[in-house]
Amino acid sequence: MRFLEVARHAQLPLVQSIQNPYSLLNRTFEIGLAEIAHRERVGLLAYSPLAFGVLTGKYRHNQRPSNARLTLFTRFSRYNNPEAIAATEAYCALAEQSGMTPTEMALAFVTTRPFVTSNIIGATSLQQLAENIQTHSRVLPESVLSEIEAIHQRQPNPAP
Amino acid sequence: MIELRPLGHTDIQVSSICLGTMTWGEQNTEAEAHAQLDYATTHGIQFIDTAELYPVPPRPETQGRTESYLGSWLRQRGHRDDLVIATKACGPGDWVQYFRGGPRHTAAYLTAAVEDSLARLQTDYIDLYQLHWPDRATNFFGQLGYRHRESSETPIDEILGALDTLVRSGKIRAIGLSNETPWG
Repeated sequence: MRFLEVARHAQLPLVQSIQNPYSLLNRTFEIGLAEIAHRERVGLLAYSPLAFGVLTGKYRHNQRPSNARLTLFTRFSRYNNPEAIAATEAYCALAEQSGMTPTEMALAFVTTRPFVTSNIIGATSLQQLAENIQTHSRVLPESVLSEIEAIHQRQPNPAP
Repeated sequence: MIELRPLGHTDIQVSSICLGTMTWGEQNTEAEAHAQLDYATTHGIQFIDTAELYPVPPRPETQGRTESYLGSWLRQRGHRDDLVIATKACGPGDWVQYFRGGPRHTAAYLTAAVEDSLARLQTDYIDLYQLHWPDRATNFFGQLGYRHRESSETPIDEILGALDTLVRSGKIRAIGLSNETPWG
């Protein structure tokens, strides 16, 4: 990381965090940045942990709820390609089979990664906000984590 | 209680869930933003992230509303020190030319951006000041297939020098990156 190198050389402030996208649909952070985050203590502030709401399952089967971001702003196609839709279906089904909502599984996955400092949630209603916040103490069982890895292997990072 | 985690090497602790804000001023009103802040902070969240760019989608007519909504709540609430407030300076781009003649991470730009964010936030310090995206041509916002492009870029020592001055003045406490690559 050049920012750390230059800071150490010139005795300037060290960067303390990196805010990048990270979710079940975009784990590209793990490839080159997770090790830096850990070793250099530049923790991830994960944004779009629900991939613009896609991982809640609310857009499944071509639903377009009114007042939802991807209904209102069609320019956000980053999270809505056919590969992302297929992976979303698999993650939602896994959550439901495991007795969780898709939101719970998706947010708990992000919050519990060891290189994550904080998981940045967003809500447009108090109901969504409550649902997001209550995931903070959820720990995913090993069986669910290995199923998540299997889906990730089949469909890695469909929404980078 | 929501777990608190250290922010990098600092003595700042942040909740493991952070309240995002980018819908405020577009999909949410000021009253709704304040209701979200009340709910989140009474349920253990003390870390709030915003940006000079917000709300999203970014438009000149709405720019700054999100920070202003957070600012009016901060002023009413008080107890500023209980909270960790993060915001960001825009990076360069044709689509953000309405920011001070085009954002760059120069000393002049960052100094003006911090002053404007502080005024909207109605506070005298920012806990974490982030560079929203890099001041150089590289891959971010989901771009694949790296191809090197020469671009005008602000040197990293100049960026860090500007941020150092802001830290020493007490206007920002810590710095962070966003939409970065391993090189940056």
